[in-house]
Amino acid sequence: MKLLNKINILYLLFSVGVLILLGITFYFVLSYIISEELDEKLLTIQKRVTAQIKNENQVPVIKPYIEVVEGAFMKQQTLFSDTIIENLQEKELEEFRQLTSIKEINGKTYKIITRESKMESHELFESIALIIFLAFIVLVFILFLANSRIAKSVWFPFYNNLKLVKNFSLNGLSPLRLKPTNIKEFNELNNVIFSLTEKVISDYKSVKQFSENASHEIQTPLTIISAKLESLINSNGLNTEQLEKVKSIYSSVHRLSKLNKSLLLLTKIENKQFRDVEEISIRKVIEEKLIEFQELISLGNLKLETFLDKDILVVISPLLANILINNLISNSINHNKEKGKIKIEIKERQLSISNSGDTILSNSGNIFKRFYKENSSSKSVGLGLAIVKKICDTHNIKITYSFKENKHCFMLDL
Amino acid sequence: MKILIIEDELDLLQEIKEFLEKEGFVCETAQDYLSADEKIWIYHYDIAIVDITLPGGSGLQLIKKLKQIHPDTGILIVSAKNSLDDKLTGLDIGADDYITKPFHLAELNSRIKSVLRRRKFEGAPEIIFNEIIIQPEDGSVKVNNTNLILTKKEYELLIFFIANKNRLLTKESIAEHLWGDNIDLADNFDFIYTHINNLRKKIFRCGGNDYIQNVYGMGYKFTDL
Repeated sequence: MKLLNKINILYLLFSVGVLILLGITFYFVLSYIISEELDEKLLTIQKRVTAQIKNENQVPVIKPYIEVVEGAFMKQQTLFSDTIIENLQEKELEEFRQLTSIKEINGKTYKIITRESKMESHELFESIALIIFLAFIVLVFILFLANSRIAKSVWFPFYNNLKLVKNFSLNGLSPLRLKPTNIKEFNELNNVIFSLTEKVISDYKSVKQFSENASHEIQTPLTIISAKLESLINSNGLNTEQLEKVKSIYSSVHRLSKLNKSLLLLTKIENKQFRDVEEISIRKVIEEKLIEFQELISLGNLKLETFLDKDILVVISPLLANILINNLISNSINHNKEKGKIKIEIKERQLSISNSGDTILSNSGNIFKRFYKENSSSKSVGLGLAIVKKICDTHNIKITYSFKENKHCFMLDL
Repeated sequence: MKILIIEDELDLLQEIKEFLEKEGFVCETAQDYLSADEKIWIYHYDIAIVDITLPGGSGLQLIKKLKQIHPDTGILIVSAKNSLDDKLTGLDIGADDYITKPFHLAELNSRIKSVLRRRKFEGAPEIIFNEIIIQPEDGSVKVNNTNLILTKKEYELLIFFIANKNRLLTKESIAEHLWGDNIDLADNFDFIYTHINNLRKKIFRCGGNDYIQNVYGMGYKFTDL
């Protein structure tokens, strides 16, 4: 739920709650006041009737409002009660409030009943309630509008900054400097985000720098080790057992140096150090690579099918284009089966390279991950496809892997 | 043939020196920019092997000076940086070749010989090994005066072998020489065997000797019988 909606809904719920509470309280207070008013009025009329009987000895009767009965009543009393009487004019039952009082006037006992219709006070009550209720609704509505406007303008810097934070990328290499506002908390948040992104960027830079430097520094010792081993192999003083050991050290060093070179390459692609871009014909790169791989393809008894009538031009560093195609083709040779097929096809802006295979990969989602090997006994370094993916990612090329009709297929949307 | 090796890592420097001396070169060494600069001014070398990152200055600067003083000296850059920029600048200012660490000594040797051939034997850069005669200019090979038709890889293999004769070439160094280091074929050296076998058979058919020996499954040696 959006913050502003949340605020509005909470506000509305609260207002409705208050409105109900106030309504109930108001109802009781108002009806109490009105009935008090009525009773007072009845009492006044009764006093006037009493006065009239006393002074003028006249008994006024206005049915059903005033009734006076003379008789022998026990004791003096005053009693308020509600009653229902048929209205003579309208022939309808009507609610009345009545005051029955027994009084001794001039030596005689009278029962004086004064009545007042409750209709009028009902109507009064209703109209007052309606006016107040309407006033409340209008007030709530206006406050709601004002509140949501205010919330919007107060939270505006927040949403603005949120957008900026969302667009933050480590490759921008500048910390997030958000717009200052006149709200203290937001400014504090901005400062925290600024120092946080500054830290992240400097850490990211130093990690990048470290991995590149480390790879570089490893190259020289590796060269020394392999040079020493080569001279050891060429000296005649070693027996077969010793040579076996030297051989295994040598091939491990060789693997290590390949690994190091691939990691260095990955870091460099990541750091975007290949800026010498030109428009490269993918078809030309493929054709050159196929000549290079020709012997390997025939060695594996592989059947090559190419559909390269069209061409795709891509703006990319020539070296990276070369590595991209190289890794994809060598992958299709390395992971092919005996007498399998390699199919390379260019369609519009799409390049697909597929090779035969018997089984679907158990973890096809990991295929582009570093050091992922489907077959753990394989001696391959496991970085070839990671490099391919990295090149694609840095050049906005979409690459997908699929297994269909016993074929492993890589599709590139160039 | 006199070679100047400029390299700041003493271990590597000695190894290269030892290796090249066995190959019959006269070697001098320099470990930093200043001593290298001095040697360049005083002596004349046929080949200079230059490391780009040196204490006291850049190898690229040395190459520029060398080009001014002795333009006929062949220059081979050795660098830990596998960067295209460095390579292009190096070659632009007059270096003959560029090799990236880590490298195989056999590869270095083969590159030195190829630079020497280009520089020293202008016009007649024949490679002769007993009955085998190679003309690198047009890539033709003759065995006992019979033309030998080789594929590109077989030809490169033969040149690599002759440049490093009597020396054990590991499968790894052969693979890298033929295919570069981009190729990830660590688990399959069979193709080298096939190439070598084909080369052997072709030379043998023309009445040549079988000079290629398999050594302990580690690699191959091209030996004069």
